[in-house]
Amino acid sequence: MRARDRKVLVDELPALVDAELVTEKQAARIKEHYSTPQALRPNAALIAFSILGSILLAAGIILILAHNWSDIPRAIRTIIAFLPLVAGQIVGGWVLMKRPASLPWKEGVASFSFLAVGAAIALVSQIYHIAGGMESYLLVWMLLAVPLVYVYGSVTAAELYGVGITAWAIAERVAGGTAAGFWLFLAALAPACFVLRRRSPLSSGLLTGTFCISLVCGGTLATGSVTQGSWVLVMLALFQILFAAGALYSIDDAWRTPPYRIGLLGLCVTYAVLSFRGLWEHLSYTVNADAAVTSYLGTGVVGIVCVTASVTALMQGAGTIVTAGPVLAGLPLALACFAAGENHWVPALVLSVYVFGLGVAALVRGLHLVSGRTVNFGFLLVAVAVLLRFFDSEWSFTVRGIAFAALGAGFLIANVFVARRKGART
Amino acid sequence: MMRRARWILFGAAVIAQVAVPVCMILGSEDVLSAGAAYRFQTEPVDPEDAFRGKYVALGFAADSCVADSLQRFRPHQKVYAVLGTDDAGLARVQRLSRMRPGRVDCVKVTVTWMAGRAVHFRYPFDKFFLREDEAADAERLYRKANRPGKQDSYAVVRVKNGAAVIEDLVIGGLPVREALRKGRAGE
Repeated sequence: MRARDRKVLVDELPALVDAELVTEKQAARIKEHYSTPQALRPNAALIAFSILGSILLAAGIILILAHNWSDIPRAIRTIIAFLPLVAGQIVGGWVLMKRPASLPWKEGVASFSFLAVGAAIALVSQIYHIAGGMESYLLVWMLLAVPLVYVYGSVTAAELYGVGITAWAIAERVAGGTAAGFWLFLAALAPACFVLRRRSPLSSGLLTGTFCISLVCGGTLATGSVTQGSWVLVMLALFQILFAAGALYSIDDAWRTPPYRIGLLGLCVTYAVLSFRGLWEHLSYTVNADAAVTSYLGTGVVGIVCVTASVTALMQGAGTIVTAGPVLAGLPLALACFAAGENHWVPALVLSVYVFGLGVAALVRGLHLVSGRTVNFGFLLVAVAVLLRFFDSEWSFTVRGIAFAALGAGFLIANVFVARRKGART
Repeated sequence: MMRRARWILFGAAVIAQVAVPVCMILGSEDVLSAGAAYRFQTEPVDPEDAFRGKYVALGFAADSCVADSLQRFRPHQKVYAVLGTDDAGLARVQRLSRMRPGRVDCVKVTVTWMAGRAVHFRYPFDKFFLREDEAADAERLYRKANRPGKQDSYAVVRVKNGAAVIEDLVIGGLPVREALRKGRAGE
């Protein structure tokens, strides 16, 4: 509990005693409990500055060396290339021995060491003109740095690793590879999300969010495209898995879980984008002759997991802002749209109506539950579905003006309604 | 138990993080000290973009080879380019091979595109790192040295067992740093 909240509670005790809600003895015990200094909690600002300072220090050292680099003999340059790495390892050993419980120290040294590993490889490559590709550089860097996540229990190192393996998947695909190894690299990060989730709600949420985004981006790239544009279906399936997992994890308030939020927003944004007619020229079931075996395998596995998670969520009626049913209906619709052939206006219309309908479903649910968050989410979806049509339709200014006004008026009326109902309840 | 496991993981990480760059260094030093030297004539990659950031982007005249009629290659495939030299002492590619050939000098290259039986590829040594201000001066010297009929710029590359390391970049007959010093002195 924050110090400010503790003070408010303690200040309220005399009033509670006067109202005979608690006895004097109970009030004294409560006051004693909240007046005792809490066990030392990690200072979030100290941790943040420790991380920032380490990153700036590592970057500064590299930049200073790079300025007069070419004038230094190669042997000396080689030794210098190792200095940040070895320094990080020495300090890291000291931290593990003398400060094993200090979060600022562990986060700081983990951040510094993570960057020092990359710098050492980059500097050696520069000294010996080892060009290589970005994908091989990132692969070696991430594989060498991932132990830092578990040695120091570092959230920063885990997030840098998540970003790094996603960047590797992009570079690998650009270089013509399959990026199939991404699944293994992501699996190395999964235990960290559980081990570190008790650190604090903020860092746990950030790490889980990074994991989810990495899963969708890297997973889509690693699975590739079995048919023309089928990577879109894989991406939708991955978002759907996150949505269902988040909804099942916290049935009462799924919106608080990052997988639910990222899954729901990802699905809504993707369906909204798919409501543009022009995109459907590139999406079909025409088989991609160059598809790798890993693409077929990945698509199959993602599909099975998606169906399992979706059916389970549907059966439990999970989901808060929007229940599972309306959201999960989108993927079968998208699958059907891929078979539309030359009639590109059909899938665009279907998905446009779907996004609109999803928004209405959320709106109705929000009015029923008297939830401002759900009402506003529903209106946002409805507004997006309508406003996007401004870009690929021939609506006149009058029609657009009426649409804007109707949306705005509806938004205001709904919020007033919810506020009044909430006021009446309290 | 956890503490012990953490120390074991720390030890393994330290060893791996030092060992990998050391292996890169030892491999490169071995090629530089014991590899055969080849001169690869350079050509502009793109007059606008040949020099980017802190390195010189290198393009090479000998970046293609006519494949045997029975050979099939595809983009992004890694193959071995068997090296020889022409009358001017510049490197040329004699043939391509999927497996590393024994007893001849070769470099592992990446196939980029094909036109009929002509296979174009990319060498692993396509960057020469210089300081940013040096790279700008080197660009000017390079363009002067590569006027038509006057192409005396090449990369000196050491080759051993399929591995290759750039030893130096020669512009106008001089190592690049000497050429830069001479160019600055002339100004």
